[in-house]
Amino acid sequence: MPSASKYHASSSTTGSRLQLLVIAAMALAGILSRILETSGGNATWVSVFLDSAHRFSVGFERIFLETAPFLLLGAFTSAVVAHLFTDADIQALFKGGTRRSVIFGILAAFILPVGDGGSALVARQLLRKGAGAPAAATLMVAGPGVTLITAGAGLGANGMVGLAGLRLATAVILAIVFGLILAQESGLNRIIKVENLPTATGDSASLLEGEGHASKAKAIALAASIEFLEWMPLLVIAALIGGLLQALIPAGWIPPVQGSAAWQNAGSGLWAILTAQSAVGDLYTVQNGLTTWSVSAQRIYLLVGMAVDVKLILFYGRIFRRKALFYWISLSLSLSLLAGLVIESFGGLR
Amino acid sequence: MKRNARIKFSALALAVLGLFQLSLIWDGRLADYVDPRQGILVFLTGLGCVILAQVVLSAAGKKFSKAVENEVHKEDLGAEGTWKSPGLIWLVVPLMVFVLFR
Repeated sequence: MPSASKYHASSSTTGSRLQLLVIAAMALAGILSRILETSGGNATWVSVFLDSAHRFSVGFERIFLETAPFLLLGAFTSAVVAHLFTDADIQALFKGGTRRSVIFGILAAFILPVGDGGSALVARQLLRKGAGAPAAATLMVAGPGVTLITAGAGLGANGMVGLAGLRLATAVILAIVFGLILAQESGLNRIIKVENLPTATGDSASLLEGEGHASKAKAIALAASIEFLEWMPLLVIAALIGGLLQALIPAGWIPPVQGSAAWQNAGSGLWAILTAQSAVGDLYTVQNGLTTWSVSAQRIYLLVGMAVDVKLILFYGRIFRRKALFYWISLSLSLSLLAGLVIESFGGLR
Repeated sequence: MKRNARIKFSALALAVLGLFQLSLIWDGRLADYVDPRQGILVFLTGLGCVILAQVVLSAAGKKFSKAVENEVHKEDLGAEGTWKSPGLIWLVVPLMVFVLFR
């Protein structure tokens, strides 16, 4: 098929050009900011530019540094699942009745060390080994909020037990409802991008049958590296988008937003989506004296930040089709709002 | 680029990523970006990346690596281990942002 190969060659060339263009534009902006910084100019546009550049770099590095550990953990867990469990093992656990699948998905999200982003890698591995879509989706959505690392950080942080508990409960409810909604869909390829899930051609675990422990460990490490490197560019792109949007939004939209409670909540929700902090990072941000934010704005920041943000949209978009993405985003936002309202009506947590 | 060169480039990318994260802890700049309590996660990730770089480098040119790779990318069985490295150039971005933007 010469025309198909020609198309692939031209699209990959366009992709490489785009990468180089973005990187060159960023390098130019960075060099300009260094020159302006050293020139000591105090014109308004210079200070605005330097402020935006600072916001971009902090926003970018924060998303990158906070997510990379969870991505690596996800890659390792995915490699372990690929090489130590047979397809039959996975199907016995994660395929069957909807209720059972959803419960096992949540249990797996709690036990496995998969937080922000990492849960997408593990869910993809489960799907490729024949797990049901509700189980994998439940694990993916519950992961950031219920994993042991997040739960431990929340319970260990002074004065955050109530908020951490609320977030854990919201994550579990969100995952259950999302799993049940996806179970109503008839075809897997209507909600999942099947083309991104390599078709199983046998039992992955058979590759290492009869091999020693050293070979198994090496195979797991190598598979983890391959998966980590495969997803890492997506994290960099998410950090770029998040950093840019944080630098470009008007200063008045950054919390604490002045105005009514609704505006304050909307501001902190938007900021949670753009800053894309990990479920551990945003807990510490709230704990580190967000005294200027209202209590409800802090709650929204924690709930929305755990459920939906820039990097999660990109990661989940690799697995879900638009329809499932739409379900997930609208469900996350409405449940976060609802949980905040319910707690407010009971007099708050703190 | 040949397969072995791509594998070595991937190992280099992993090593640079790992060392970058460790250097942030070393010079204390980590606190500019994230809460210092997350330092342990960043440290372990940096260390993990450096170890993985060593594993990837040692796999270059070995048949064993092709088998693992074909398992990860099952759709490419005919390709006999092509060592996919899509968009690795993006990995220079975190370092560039750190160096150029303050």
